[in-house]
Amino acid sequence: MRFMDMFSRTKTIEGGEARQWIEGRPPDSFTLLDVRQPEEYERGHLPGAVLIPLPELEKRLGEINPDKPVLAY
Amino acid sequence: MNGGIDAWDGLVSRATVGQGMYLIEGDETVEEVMALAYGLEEGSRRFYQELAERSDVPEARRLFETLRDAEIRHEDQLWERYRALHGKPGERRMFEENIVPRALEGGLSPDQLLTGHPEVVGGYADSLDLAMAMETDALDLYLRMAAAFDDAEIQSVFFELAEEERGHLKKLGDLRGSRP
Repeated sequence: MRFMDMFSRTKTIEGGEARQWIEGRPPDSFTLLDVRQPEEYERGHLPGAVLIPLPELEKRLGEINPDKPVLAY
Repeated sequence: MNGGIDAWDGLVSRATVGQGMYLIEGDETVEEVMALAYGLEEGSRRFYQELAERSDVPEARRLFETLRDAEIRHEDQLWERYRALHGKPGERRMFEENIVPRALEGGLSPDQLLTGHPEVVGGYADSLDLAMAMETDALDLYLRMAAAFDDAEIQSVFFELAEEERGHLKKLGDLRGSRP
């Protein structure tokens, strides 16, 4: 992890708040990140969620736009 | 999100990881992308038309006709945008003739969807649920396609369509909420 990452802020929100947060924003203004396994993703995922399983996240960080907020689950 | 997917009380897409994404390579031009999107809209238009013709329930038939008409409006918007890029008057027929709707907006073929949903000619509630599932998968596909491109103009094509799908889902959700 980069040194400055230690100072980045991560906020935890509840499901209802997440829904309001998503519905109140244009779809191009944020990234939805699903960190589960493919079979879990296919059982149901938030529309538009990008799948990057947690074990792969570190090496695939470059796929996530750093200029947009990320809602992960 | 605390609690993960279990905490989510909104709609979910059950599209597979690759569903619909086989339709793009990631290096298409904006014109190719618009033709693809037009094809997806046309596939859905034909599907909703078929559902309307199959349905014996007047309310369900009107619902599918309304959704069909929405797809036609999307096609009109896509054509106007395509024409604004470089089209000439009278070329829409040629544009349409070169498009083969291989899939609906959710990434499945009409036969796949009809086979998986025999209840489609059932009651109004079932029809609403099917329409919401389709529109949710369409929203999902458009957002994932947008993420597959770096070009801002291409992304905007998909994001605008995604926003349209969100609007449809809101209206369908309101209708569903008013039914038992």
